[in-house]
Amino acid sequence: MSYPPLTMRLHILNDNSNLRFWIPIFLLYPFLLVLALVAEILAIAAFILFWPWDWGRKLPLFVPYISRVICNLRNLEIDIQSRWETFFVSFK
Amino acid sequence: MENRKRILEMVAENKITVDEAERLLALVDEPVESASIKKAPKYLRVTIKPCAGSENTDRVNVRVPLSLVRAGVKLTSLIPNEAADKVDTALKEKGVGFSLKNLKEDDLEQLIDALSDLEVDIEGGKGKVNVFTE
Repeated sequence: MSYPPLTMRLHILNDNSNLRFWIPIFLLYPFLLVLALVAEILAIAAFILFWPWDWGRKLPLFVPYISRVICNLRNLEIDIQSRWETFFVSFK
Repeated sequence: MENRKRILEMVAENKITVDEAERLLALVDEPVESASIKKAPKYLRVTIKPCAGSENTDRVNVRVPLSLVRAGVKLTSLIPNEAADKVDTALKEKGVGFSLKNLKEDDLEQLIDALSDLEVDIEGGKGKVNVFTE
């Protein structure tokens, strides 16, 4: 069982800006949960309508698979530095 | 437990000295070395560093949890065939001979296993690319 990341650090540095963010993304999770529930209900409804098609049968899997991707974002780190620009993002 | 008993029996039978028994007991008590048990890798790392003397100063350091890679591969199975075809065509146009439809979880596990045993180093004129798992 993996838990979703709680915070995100973002650093964008270039000629025009020097942005440093520490975003408590766990605050979004209650909204995401509601959104996921609504999306899943819609996906099941679409599944009933479109089940004869191959992609229709896969619709109810979207929400769990996307949730899985979000949960596994923890510890992802991307750091790109060039002479003029820096981009850094990490999920903790 | 069985090994300890055997060592003590050997001492009792005067087959080994107390010093030797002590050394053997220490070996028996030692935890199994981590090298013998291969730890499953958790992250895929990709680093790009400039070569020494190169004017290029670009650096890339990416750490991707392998669980995220697995979840991503699972997600690709939901891509409709028509969309996957379009992606494959676009990749082919860019010179990448890779098909999304052929991406299977088993293949990924094999790739991760292979990467845990080796590092990919590519050194060109401008920089050095390093791909490995940790």
